[in-house]
Amino acid sequence: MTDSSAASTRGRSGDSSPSANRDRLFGPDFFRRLQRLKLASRRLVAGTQKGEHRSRKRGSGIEFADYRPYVEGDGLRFVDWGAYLRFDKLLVRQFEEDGDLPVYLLLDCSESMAGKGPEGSMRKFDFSRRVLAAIAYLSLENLDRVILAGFAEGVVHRCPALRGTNQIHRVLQFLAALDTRLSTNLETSLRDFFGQPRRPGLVVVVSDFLHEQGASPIHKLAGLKHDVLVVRVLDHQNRAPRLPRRTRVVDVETGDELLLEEQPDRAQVYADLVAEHADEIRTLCRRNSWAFIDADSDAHFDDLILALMRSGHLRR
Amino acid sequence: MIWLGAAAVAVVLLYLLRPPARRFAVPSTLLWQRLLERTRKRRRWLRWLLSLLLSLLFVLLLVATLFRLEPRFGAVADPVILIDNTGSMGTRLAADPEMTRLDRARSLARTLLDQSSGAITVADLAGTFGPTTFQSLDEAARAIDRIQWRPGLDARLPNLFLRSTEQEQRAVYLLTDRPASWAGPDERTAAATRRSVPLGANWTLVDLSEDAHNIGFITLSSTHSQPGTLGAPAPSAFIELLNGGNQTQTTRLVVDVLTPDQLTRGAPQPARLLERDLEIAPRATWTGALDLSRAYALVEQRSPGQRVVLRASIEPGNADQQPADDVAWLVLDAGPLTIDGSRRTEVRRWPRWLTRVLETSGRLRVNTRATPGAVRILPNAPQGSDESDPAPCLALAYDGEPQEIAVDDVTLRLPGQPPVALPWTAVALRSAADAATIDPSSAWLRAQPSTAEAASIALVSAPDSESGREPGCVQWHFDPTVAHLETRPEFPALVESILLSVGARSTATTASGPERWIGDRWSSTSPDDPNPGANLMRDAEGLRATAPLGAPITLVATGAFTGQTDPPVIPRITPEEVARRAGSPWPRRSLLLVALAALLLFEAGTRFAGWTE
Repeated sequence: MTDSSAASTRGRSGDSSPSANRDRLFGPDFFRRLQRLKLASRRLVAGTQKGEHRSRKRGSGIEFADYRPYVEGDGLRFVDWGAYLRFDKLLVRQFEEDGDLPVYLLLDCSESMAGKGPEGSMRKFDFSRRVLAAIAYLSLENLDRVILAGFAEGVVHRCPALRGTNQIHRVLQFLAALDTRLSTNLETSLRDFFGQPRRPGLVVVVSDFLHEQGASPIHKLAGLKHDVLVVRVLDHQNRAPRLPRRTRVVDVETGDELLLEEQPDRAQVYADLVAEHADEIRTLCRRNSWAFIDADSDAHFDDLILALMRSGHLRR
Repeated sequence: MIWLGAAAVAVVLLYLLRPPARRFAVPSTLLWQRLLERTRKRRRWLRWLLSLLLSLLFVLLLVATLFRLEPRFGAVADPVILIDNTGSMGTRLAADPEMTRLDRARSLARTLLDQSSGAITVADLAGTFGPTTFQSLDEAARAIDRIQWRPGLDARLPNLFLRSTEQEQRAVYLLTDRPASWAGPDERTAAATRRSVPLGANWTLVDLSEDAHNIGFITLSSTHSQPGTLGAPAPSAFIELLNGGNQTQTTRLVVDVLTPDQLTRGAPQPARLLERDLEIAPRATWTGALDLSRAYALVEQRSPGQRVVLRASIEPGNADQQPADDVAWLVLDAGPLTIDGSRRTEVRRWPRWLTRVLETSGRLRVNTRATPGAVRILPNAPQGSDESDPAPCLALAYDGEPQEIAVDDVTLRLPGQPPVALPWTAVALRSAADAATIDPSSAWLRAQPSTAEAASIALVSAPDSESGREPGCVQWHFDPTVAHLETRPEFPALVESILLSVGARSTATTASGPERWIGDRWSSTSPDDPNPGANLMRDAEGLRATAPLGAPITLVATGAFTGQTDPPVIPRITPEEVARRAGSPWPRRSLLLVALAALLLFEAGTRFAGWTE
């Protein structure tokens, strides 16, 4: 496990300097789009209170929730004297506690995410980081608690919980410092991350899910009462690879090789498999009432965010 | 096999030398792995299917081999096989004298049976067998073997008793050596005459005719003096040889003098009068005179007082092995001829089938230009002098002034029937006497096919510029070897008239250069003419008087036909084509081995080499 500072020292994506990486990833254009998202989100969530998420937890809020019998030690100011006069019982008023929503942003940092797209196209990893930055920004705007992590064989990058709009720069700094490494083990990573107590919240997992386990380990989140948003990010090379007739494909994560003989309908079969792969994840999400987004790294990140907001996946 | 092996080696080398697969880095091989698995599943299914098909093929071939089953690809359903078994089909084949044309027809018919299926109808053209329909190929084959040769020219298409739908649907094969007699005229002639034949488009003529040499004697006669010469009469022989074929023939003419003993006992060496190699152009006649004084001298020296036989022969002679024109006999009385001497002439060109006819000499009538009654048929000479040849001979006796004698025609008269002209070749043509035997109601003139050439020549139409006749007429130039014009009752209503012509050509120009007609006589006849050919006879007489001695006289018949349009073109195929259609016998064992090898190779490849893994 490494912290954000350690991650920043190993940045391998693009320029070696984290600050240069940050400028490249989150430049003026990014913030311009972010502001547009902010305005859009205000329109979409108008009427709701910032940071006011109803909670089952009883606390110091102002909304009445319930009564309970008085026990020794309870503050007298919470005793409902009117009820005492009526029922001759000491009842204590309980109020709903106003809580912030934990937003867990998990990014696949395996080698497969670093795939180089065609000239001019955005790499999957960069696209994913921008998407997470945007979600984090909106969450911070909403006074939610944002927890960022990057995973590969396990959780390899962590960022402490952040709250408040002014923490966006730490988010961007963390994301800019991330790099890709080794292979993916989603199950280990989730066990690693959710091994410690986590308050139920929104879990956003961004990955290409192009590994042996696929998206099936996410199923383990079902018992943790989280809302889960699964984002599969593929680039053009993943969706419609152009390979020679007879070629030997090498897995960049595992180094495994496969010999592909000439096959007339190879492109069509591969396209079917890509669609089936998405269907597998979609079926898993639907079974747990989760959201699934199949994103193309060649698209703009803000379009994806707007689509998420319009579909309600980013509103609570 | 060498080429096959080299090709296999080349394929293996190309496979081994193919460029290595390029390495290509991909984010993940997960989907590619799934793609390969899916492809393997499909290939496994294909392998299972291929293996099943190969196994089934192998089992089928095994069963076919064990039970001797023959495939019948493209079999002709319900064919009709008609076999010409009339006289000329008894001709022996030039390539294989052991076989006759009928034998070959039977063989080809069996080949056709191998390509057939369903009900097979078999019939002959002599009217002695069929039409009979067989459901079994074996029964049909046995029936074909039972068809026997029938002498004579009386070939008739049998009534097949086919329903109207069957007449156009069933394939009919007619195996004959006289395709020209059945297939109808060529397109040009057909167009000019608008003539048709009742053979449908589903008929196929299997042409069994051969390009025979068709060379033989047309005249061997003796005279006591050369025509036109003065002085003391000298015995001489007049010889005419005709090449009726399409190619120049080289032959050796041998003339021997034999005594009766030599004839009957095969005495050692005959006295040879002449031995000469001749080259005769197509359709040309060679004529020659032979001084017989030396022959008589030999006779006087060896066997005085005996009669001798003059035998002229050519080698090679007729390839069609017919009762031949390649030997001619002339019996000479011993000693110098006297004015009132008696001579006897034997002509050996008599078909075998006249044996019984000749037993009754009273039915024969011989017309000559000699003094009436001077030539008579010898009643006791039905057989030839050569005992080795059972062919009957016609023996004519002449008692009269020494002169050239030509037999104009020989007509057979049977009680209650019209006279039948016997197929008398040269003599009849010399006088064109057969013209008198042409039935004017016939629409079809058929030549006696002593060879195929004669039959085909008979159907060659003359150019319009030569004929000079009105459109719609057609001419056939009959080769002098064509001896007989036969009627075809199948076409009774198609003829308007027949115009017969007799012409003579200059013998000097027949070998090369254009023919020069030195005389032309025409005579027309019609179906209503009570005495057809009478005018022609008279014209022939006049022409003969002006033509040089030995000049061949050509009979030209012109017929005008009406009524029919769009004659069907009857396909004609050769025996070789029939055999080629049948193909080679199905190599069951070879196919079985190939299928087994393919199955084993496939199984080994899929199991050990991982072709489909």
